[in-house]
This record gives sequence, C-alpha cells and structure tokens, in this order.
Amino acid sequence: MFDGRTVQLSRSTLRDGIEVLNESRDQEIENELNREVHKGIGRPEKIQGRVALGDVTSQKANKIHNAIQNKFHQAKNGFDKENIQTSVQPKEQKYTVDDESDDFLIDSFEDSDGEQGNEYDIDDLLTQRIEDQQLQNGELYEDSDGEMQNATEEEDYVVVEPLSPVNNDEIQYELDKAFEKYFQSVPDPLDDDTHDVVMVLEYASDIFYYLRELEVKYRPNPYYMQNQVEITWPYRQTMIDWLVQLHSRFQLLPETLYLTINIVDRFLSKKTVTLNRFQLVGVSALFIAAKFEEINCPTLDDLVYMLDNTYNRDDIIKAEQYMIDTLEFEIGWPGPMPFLRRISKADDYDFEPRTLAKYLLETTIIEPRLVAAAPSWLAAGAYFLSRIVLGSNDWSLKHVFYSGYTSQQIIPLASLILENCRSASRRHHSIWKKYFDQRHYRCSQIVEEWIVSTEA
Amino acid sequence: MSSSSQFKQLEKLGNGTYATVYKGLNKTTGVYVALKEVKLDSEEGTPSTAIREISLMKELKHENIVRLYDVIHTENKLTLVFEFMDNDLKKYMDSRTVGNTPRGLELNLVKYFQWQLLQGLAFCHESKILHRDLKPQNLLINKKGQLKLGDFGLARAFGIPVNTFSSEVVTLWYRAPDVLMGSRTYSTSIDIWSCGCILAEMITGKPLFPGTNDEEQLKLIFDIMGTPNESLWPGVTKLPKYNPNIQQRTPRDLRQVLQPHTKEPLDGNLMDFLHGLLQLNPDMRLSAKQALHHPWFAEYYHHTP
Repeated sequence: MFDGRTVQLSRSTLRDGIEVLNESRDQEIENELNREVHKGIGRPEKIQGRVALGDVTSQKANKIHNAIQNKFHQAKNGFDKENIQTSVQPKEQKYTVDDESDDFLIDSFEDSDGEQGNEYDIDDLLTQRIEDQQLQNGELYEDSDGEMQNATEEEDYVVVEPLSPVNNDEIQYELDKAFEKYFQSVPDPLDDDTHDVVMVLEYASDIFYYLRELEVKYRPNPYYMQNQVEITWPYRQTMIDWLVQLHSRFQLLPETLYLTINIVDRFLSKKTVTLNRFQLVGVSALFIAAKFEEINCPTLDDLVYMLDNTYNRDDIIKAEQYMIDTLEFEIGWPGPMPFLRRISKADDYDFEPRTLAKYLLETTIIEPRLVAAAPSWLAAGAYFLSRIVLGSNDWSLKHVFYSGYTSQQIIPLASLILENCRSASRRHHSIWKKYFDQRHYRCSQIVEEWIVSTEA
Repeated sequence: MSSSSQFKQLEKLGNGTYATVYKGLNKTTGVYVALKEVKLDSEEGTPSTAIREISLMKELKHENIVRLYDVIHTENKLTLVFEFMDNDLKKYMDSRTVGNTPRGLELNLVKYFQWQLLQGLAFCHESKILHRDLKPQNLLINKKGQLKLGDFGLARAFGIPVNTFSSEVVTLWYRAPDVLMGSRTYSTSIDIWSCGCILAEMITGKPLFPGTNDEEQLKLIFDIMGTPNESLWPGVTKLPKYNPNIQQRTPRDLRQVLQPHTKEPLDGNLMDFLHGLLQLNPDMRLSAKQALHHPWFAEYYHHTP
C-alpha cells in the first residue's frame, strides 16, 4: 500500500537539520540545565563531565555501546517468559514511604533502615546469564577482560544528552503566523469534526493547551541514569523490549504502553533501583498504567504467570503501592497519541501517514536521549518523518498549527528517529517485529525498504 | 503527606461506590474534613477507581469541585482527605419532603445550583475528564449554598478522539439513552444528560426517570421524550442494544409533566434550557460551556467578569 518512493531532497533536508541542531544545541542544553537546577529536580554535579554529542557518538563510545547492546540482544531471551530468572525468588520486604521528597533522588528502592542491604547483591542471575551467554557464544567483550562490570563503568562516563526542540524568534514568528491563520475560536460548521461528538471540538483547544502543560509537569529527569547504580541505558532498552512484548500479548492500548514507560522513567528519576528489582518496576508500571487506561485490565495472576513466578503477587502489590506513592498519584500524563491524531487533522486524517507514524513514534520509547522529550514533539517528529518516507516533503503552516512545531524544530528529532530505524531489528527488536506484521501494515518493513532505497 | 493520627475520626457520613466516608477533624488546625477510606485488602492491589479518582482530582482545582487535600497511604488502607461539605443534594431534597409528598426547590436555588454544577462540569471537560456518575448524592452542598462535584470514583480521562469506554457507567436513573443502548463512544454529552435529569429532579423533588432495569429505563425516557428514529438521531438503529420493536411514542410536553409538581411557573427559557440538556441524540445536547451561556442564566453571566 505504501510506495516507499525515494526522496533525495528530503534526505538533504534531514542532514541540514542535523547541522542546525549542532549549532543551536549548546544553548538549548544550557537552558535545559538551568531549568533543571531551577526546579531542583536534581541536575547533579556531573554537569562538568558531560560529553558533547560528537563524543557520545565517537567511535570508542559507540563501540562500547554497540557491544553492550549486542550482548543484551543475545541475552534478550533471558527476559522472555521461558527463560526468566526462575531461580531468583525475591525475599519478603517492606517499603517505607519517605516523607522527604527532596531526597527521593538519592533514596534507594530498598528499606530505609537498610538492614537487609545484602539482599540486593549486584550479582543477580540476569547479569550472570549474560556473561554465561557471552562465554557460550565465544564472544568475549572486546575492550576488556569480559567482565560486564567494565562495560557498565565505561558506560558511566558517557552522559546521554537529552534532545529537545530549539526555539528562536524566527520559529516563534512562524508559530504565531500559523496560529493567526488557523485558530478558530468558534467551531467551523463546515468542518466534519464540529458534528462529531468524539472529537469534543468545543473543548479541543482548551484541552490541548492543558495537555501541553501536563507533558511538562510529568516530565522525567533526563539525567536520572547518572544517579542509578546498577541500571544502565542498555538495561532499560532490554526491559522496554520485554514490556512491548507483554503489552502486545495482553492486547492493550498504545496509550497504556506510553504511560508505562513514563511511569518507569519518572520513578527512576526519584529512586535508585537494583537490577533484580528492575523488572518488578516495569511490570508494576504496566499494572498501574493499565488500571488507569484500560477498560479491562490484566489481572495480577495474569502478570505473575507471565513473569513465571519471578515475583509473586505480594511483590507486585507492594511495588505498585510504593511506586504510586513515590509518584504521589500523579498518573495523568497525556502521552503522544492525542497529539498524533491532532496533527493528522492537517492532512484530513489521511490514514497512511498516521499509521506509519505510529511505528516511528513507538521506536522513540527506547531512545535514551528522548526520555524526557515532550510527547507533542515526539508525535510531530514521527509524523514529519512518516510523511517524508511516503514522499511528502512539505510541512505546511497547517501542519505547524496542528503539531505546534516548525520543521526547524522537528528535523533534529526526525533525523534521530531515522538513524535509530537503520538498525531497527537489533535496536528495537520487539517493536520492529510487531510492526512487521500485516496487522500493523508492515510499517517497519516499509521504513526499512525506504532506507535501503535511499541509500542505494 | 499527612499521617492518620493527625485526624480524629467522627461519625460515618456514608458508603461511596468503593469506600466508606467519615467526618474527621484535623487536630492541629481544628478544621473539619471528610475522610474517605478505601480498603486495600483487594485481590488486585490498589483499586483502579482509587488510582483514577486521586490522580484526576489532584488536577482538578475549582471552586465547584470538592478539593482533595491529601492522601494517607498505609499498609491496608488508603484515606483520602477531602474538603468537608455539610450535606449532599439528595439528602437535602429528602429533608424537604412533607409526609410522602416530595417538594422541589425554589427555582432561584435550582438555578444557582445548576449554574454551579455546570461550572464545575465545564472545568472537568476542559481538563479532559468525564465524571460519569453525576447524581444528587454526588453533588455536595454547604450552608453557604455552594455546590461542588464529588465522588470521582467512576471518572476517567479522555483523549481526542475519545476512545471507547465501558458502558457500565452512571447510576441507572441518570444514564443517557445512547449509553443505555450500548454506545461505547460517548463523550462529554454523557454528563450533560445527567445534568438534565438532576435539573428536573430539583424542580419537582423526585427523579424524572426512576427505572429499575435498562429496558424500563429506556421506556420511561421514551414515554416522555419520544422514541428516537433515524431522522431525529442518525445512527440510533445501529446501536448494539437498539430495539426495533419498541413501542413508538411521541414526545410529551415536558412542562406539563413537571408543572404539577411545583408552585412556581416554569418559564420558556427554563424549558428550552432543559430540552437542550435532555436531547436523546448526544450530538444535539448542549455542552457545559454552551449551557452556561443559555438565556436562562442571563442574570448570572451578565455579572460574571
């Protein structure tokens, strides 16, 4: 159905965008940091040690990163139901709620009295399993003596810098122009949506204004990984891959998946989690998100079954309660789906770009640099790239109005999403696989073919 | 977060959909509160109703919505600390019954309550939240004549377009005909129907459509509002529980239905307003925002800055 026409122009547009990004990025990061410091949600001292984009993608770091990623993908089955760490039975424990919210960042997901600290030893079975597999496969870690430990230490030096949209006078001018042209305070009687009750058109602009506030309010700390002791970005990637599988197995709504990831990231922004509890955090986040979003939520027994008794009912109930308290019951994060549908209005809800964008959008949940990215911006980036893949290179004022972003703001993001899709089957395996299916219109295949054809 | 020792638990105020509500006294400030206790010995951890109610109410700060001050989470119960209100609309109306004859409220008060109800509701809808259980019991009032929306146990956030939801919502008497016929793509209009039922009930002192089951509920609605058809309500015959064999009724004059139960004359503005809320076709119902601009409220909005 999609014809992945080659569009040379758009490729160069994307490349220009990367340059734009590099120029304006430092100012943006400073702004970002200032905001963080101002909000007091923990921009730690490591500011000085941050590594610029060039360094992150520098060969060495890249090699390390890829090596770790490879290992994790080989060990991925370790997270599948059949192979799950069955022999690790988490011990009974109580969580206590800490009243000092300021200290959340350095708190740990453990008893505050700390008397059972030895229960959370680093050498849990997951790490063990990865090393075992490495040895079995005869693929020793190239830069070191094969110790996983070294890999994570190396990883610590690499600070992943968040990506966020730039802003300047020119952009603001374009946004204002789009608003003047398309904003209607009274619904247009010729617009079909005006008569469609599910579009709640009368409230749409109020609601979107409000959603833009909420996406900022419920934003995770983009630097939280620096405060984690055992967890690293590759672990997060592996867990999300597993959550994607769990989520499709239960046939849940896309909104639930996005909310799950947001809950995990916001929780990790406030608490340090040990590796053997990380999966528990993931499954409990899914449980909370499903309770918020779904009509029919998976039961605890369903979840325990899928975990193959790695954790028991009580573990999940306690983790759920602890996480809800940590997030202070603030669950109403909007996620990108409403924004995606909103942008789609600029093309009269054309099915193709929106459908393809759903795949591109979902790939963003894996990307460390987009952990704290605004869902409205992610939706815009995915939709923008989707249109390019389908052969439309323009981003009209109407698109600017319905997305809230100009092409200049979107291009760096679209470039990153595209870059990630170049190694889709490895980088976001479960998402790639899910969208390879006919039910999802083979979206991941279409993107893959398009990349091959443009690079030929 | 407060601790439970900060509050003295006083008399029981009632049983909510999933909780028990007590009057409480904040020992440090001397302020009365309502303590809503949710038991956590449930099979499925923290109830989804509690997760939704708390997360949504934390977002809703409005003078016509009961304020959630705090949440106390202990091992086996969850206590929601709410602003204390003297009464609810149901008990207040019951208290005015003389013998077995219900009495409606004075129309001035009806209008003031309805205005506040719609103010609170418009705020919910602007914040992408559906209440889904509006009824006199869930409208709390105080001695100053203030009215506030309470009990968000069935509420939920909606996206745009609105996803499909459960049709098992809203207490039967206040449930919209589209939902009764199995529609799952309802939106803000679901709350507006309830507002219409509540308005009629305030006028007469008794529920407008007191059905005992889904079928009877629809029959009571059609007896007064007329039976819908494709020309009045395109799509109605395709609803899952649409009954093509239902007896055809022509709409009755609402004024004649209500007037015998009140001494005050029901004017044209009021009847037009009520019709706007009680449209069978959800697309035709007024929105809360539109309703607040209806001429019946002219005296209010001319004084609103």
